[in-house]
Amino acid sequence: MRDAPLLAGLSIALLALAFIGLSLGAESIGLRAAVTHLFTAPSSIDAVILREIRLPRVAIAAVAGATLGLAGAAMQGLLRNPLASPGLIGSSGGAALGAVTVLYFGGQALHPQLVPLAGMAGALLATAVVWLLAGRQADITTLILAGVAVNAFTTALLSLLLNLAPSPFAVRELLYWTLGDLSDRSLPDLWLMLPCTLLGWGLLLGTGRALDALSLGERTAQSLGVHVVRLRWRLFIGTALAVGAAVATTGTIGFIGLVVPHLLRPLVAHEPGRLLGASALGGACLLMAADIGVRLIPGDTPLKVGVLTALVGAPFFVMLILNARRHTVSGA
Amino acid sequence: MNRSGPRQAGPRQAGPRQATPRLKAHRLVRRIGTRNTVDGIDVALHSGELVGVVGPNGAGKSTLLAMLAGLVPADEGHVDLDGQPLLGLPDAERARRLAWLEQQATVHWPISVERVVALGRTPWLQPWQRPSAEDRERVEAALLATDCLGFRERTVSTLSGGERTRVLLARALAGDPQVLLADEPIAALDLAHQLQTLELLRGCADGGMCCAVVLHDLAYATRYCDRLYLLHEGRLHASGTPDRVLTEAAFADVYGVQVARGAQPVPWLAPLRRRADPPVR
Repeated sequence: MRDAPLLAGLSIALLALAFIGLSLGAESIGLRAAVTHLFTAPSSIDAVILREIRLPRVAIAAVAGATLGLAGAAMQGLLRNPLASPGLIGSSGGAALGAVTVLYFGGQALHPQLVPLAGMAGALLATAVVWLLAGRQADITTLILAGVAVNAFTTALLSLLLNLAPSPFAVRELLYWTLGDLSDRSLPDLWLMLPCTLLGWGLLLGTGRALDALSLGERTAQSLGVHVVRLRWRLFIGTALAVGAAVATTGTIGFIGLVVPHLLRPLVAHEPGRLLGASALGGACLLMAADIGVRLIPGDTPLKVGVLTALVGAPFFVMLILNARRHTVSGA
Repeated sequence: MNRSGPRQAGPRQAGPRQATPRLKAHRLVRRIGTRNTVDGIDVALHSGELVGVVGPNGAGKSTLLAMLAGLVPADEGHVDLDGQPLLGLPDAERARRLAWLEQQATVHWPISVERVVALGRTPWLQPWQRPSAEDRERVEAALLATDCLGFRERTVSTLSGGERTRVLLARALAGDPQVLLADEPIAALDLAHQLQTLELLRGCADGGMCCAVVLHDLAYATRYCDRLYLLHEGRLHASGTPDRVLTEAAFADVYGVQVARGAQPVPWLAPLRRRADPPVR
């Protein structure tokens, strides 16, 4: 397989980052002993810390990062545009709105998983609205416009909730959630996000060959036997499920879905199909690394991981643009 | 299958005509708003013939070709491939038998020539299946036939318009189609590559493929095609051998020009002047 070295390298990086992520924390625990204790003495301190605090955080970072990288690559392949991002189709806006609504009404006190659950419901609802707006035979432009409209509306409703929040403390809580965060996540959060995420991955990962054909344009892809309308909905629903579940669990985390496919594209000869798997691994690595970063940065107010990805992602993106510009100029 | 040696265009016999056409369209209609861009056209294409679809701008040539390829649905009428309804075939099955070459096609990512041509094998592969030795052979043969071997490693975005057209033609041939529908394949090519491409298409037809090509150059159409369909305002003005279709009256009525023409040393044609008074309907 052509990409074996790249995928192996990314997997090794993933494991290394997981090791670092599991080792870092307020309590210093021996990782090997803790892992053994998970099975031999499940109620020992280090086993509990590992299972209840660090494992969920690292695993959720990996799953959410992989989702964002994969969905970003899939969307860019579908739209044949390197600026597309998974948030384009409205599901992440819906997820944020759903989760914040529950926070606003204090629903998290009823059940700890109510926030992500509402986030996922919001993502599905937003997707359904986009579907209804665009119609079954929708072309790409209509689909994106419907996504943008739904995104605008969810953003407006989010602002409304912030505006009406009864106290500065409540504002802070709502706002913090939207920044994207991986701290204080639990194993039930992980179990809740996994089914939708895995289903979404399943839908997205099988589209590689069709996305390759799509680089020749929609009609030529159709002439090559790709059912373009079906492919569009498959990618749309896969992204909605996976990204919706991820955002519902972590809050909105920007730039991973945009930057990771960009970064890896030259390494897979710009082929959209090969980019899918590589972007999933790359996204997982990047979000895990960012989460390690926020834990290492000292300070009284811990930095949210979504803030760090945006802080690093935006200048990085500028660099990519400048790079691309230099290439175009020299190539012209 | 011999793809590598397109023979020189020369005197042609009528060719072995099969009883049933490979691709048959019955009374095709395509509406855009209240206008019929394609208005009740019958087409029958046989194996082993190169058929030209000609007509002025906006006559409905590209739409007709896309309808024949099953890419644009017909508002009325239907297309049969080997006697079966084209749109009833599974997508991959249709794509294996019939290739379509887009006018002014673009490639959206800077991927390599080889990979673009290999995309022609898409209908033969399952989503996770790896290309077989036969797939690779077909790709090699198509690269060879279209004279693309010299730049197979380059990315398509660095190619000239002519080179890109040849690569996309190779892509269509790599799928080993029985029917090839090409929309203005020589529009961006220089003279040498125009000849090369038309000879290649002629060779495909002589090898048994069923080829239909949208052409603007009527001298080439006369020289290389077995039959022509002359379209005018969505309707079929005439069809048959080039000599029968491209009459003085056809030039006057359809194109609104007078032409000078000759047959030596090859069929040639030059517009003399526009007709002053359009024909009275």
